[in-house]
Amino acid sequence: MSNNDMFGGSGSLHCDPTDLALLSLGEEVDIDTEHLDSCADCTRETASLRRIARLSRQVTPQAATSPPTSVWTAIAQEMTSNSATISSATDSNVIPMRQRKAPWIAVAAAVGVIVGSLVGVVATAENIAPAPVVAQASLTPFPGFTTTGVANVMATDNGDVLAVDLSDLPPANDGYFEVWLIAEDATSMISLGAVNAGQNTQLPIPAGLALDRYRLVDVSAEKFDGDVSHSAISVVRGELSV
Amino acid sequence: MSDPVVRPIRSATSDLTPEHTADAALTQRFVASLAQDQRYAHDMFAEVYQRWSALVYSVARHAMRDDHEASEVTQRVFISAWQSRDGFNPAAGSLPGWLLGITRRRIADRWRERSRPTSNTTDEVPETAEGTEDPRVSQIIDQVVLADELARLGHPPGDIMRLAFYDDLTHVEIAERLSLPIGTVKSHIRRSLTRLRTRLEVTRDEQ
Repeated sequence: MSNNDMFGGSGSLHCDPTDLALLSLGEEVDIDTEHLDSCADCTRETASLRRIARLSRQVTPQAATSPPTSVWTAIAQEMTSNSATISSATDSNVIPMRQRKAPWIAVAAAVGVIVGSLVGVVATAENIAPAPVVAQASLTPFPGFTTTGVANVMATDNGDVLAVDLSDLPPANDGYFEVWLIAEDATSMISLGAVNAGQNTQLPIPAGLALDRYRLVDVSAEKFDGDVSHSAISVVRGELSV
Repeated sequence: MSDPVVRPIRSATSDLTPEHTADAALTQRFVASLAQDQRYAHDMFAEVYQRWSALVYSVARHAMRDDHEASEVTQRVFISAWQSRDGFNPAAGSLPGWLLGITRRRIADRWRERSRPTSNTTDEVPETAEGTEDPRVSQIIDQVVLADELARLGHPPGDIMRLAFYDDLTHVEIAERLSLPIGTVKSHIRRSLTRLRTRLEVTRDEQ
């Protein structure tokens, strides 16, 4: 960007914005003072940056602190008058989550090592290398939850699947967890199915779904209540990127 | 396109960070969710909370000087925001500006409640009319926002600005200290200053 673009440009050449920034910090800068004194734009820019510098010098850099999780719990309770909420706290009523191994990860890695290092050795494990990942989302927890995870869209011979890996899940008191794809503008969502904690739950993605639109991967806490809609209690969410 | 329009930031800034873009997208999703089933809105509101509750809580902590009261204020702010969510107009101000506007009012309420029993004996917290704003909260907001943004500048911009602000080093001295080219230091200084300014403007953009 040239100096004149920055201020809409008229009259004599504006001062270099970088020089104005240094000037606002109190540095001595070799600058066209004649222009600066007569130009309202350059004067205003300097004054504005000077103010930022002055205010910044009055504070100590410190990231904002998150409120305790109890705050969100109270808000969520207020928001949903009658729908039950799932507690993220440890509870006696824990449904143990089945941990499944993903054997293909180890096999695929082994195949890679063999093929990559030994000439003449034929990989005997046929086509079991993982399907290519075409999009990925890292899943981050909603307030009150600590679950994290990753969701991969993989192109398999049988169409796209969403592979979901979750670190852990809160107690599923009389309920379960469901995976959704949500349109970016939040105008619609579709359910892909249930998920348990652990690795690699693979859920088929309906053929023809516009994945570039349904980019948000969401895992919700659901009750066994026959209600097929989203409970409005999301545990994790992430945006798919190619 | 019938998508709601999110008003661009006032200042001419070429230094929009990915964070700004993500914030704009969140605002857009939030506004879109308001027209949907309440469950969508609920869900999206949780995302809004996740993004902005730390700022609200930090402002409340500075204002109340008490963690418990700060939690209470934060709770009230987001419940008020939820209840008045249909009044949020992205064309009139930013989402954080809207939330911080509510924060101002809830803090003023709290201060008023605190001072009421002893209002005859102390003028430490002067009475303000219901729903009015207090310049002291504005100052706290500016400070919290700047402190937060300074902490998020990362490396090397954050290091450069610390040396410039708190050690009063010139850009040449900073370049030497950090073994960076002078041009790099200069452009980081300009970019960081405008980024700080943008963040302040966005959070002040109330309706």
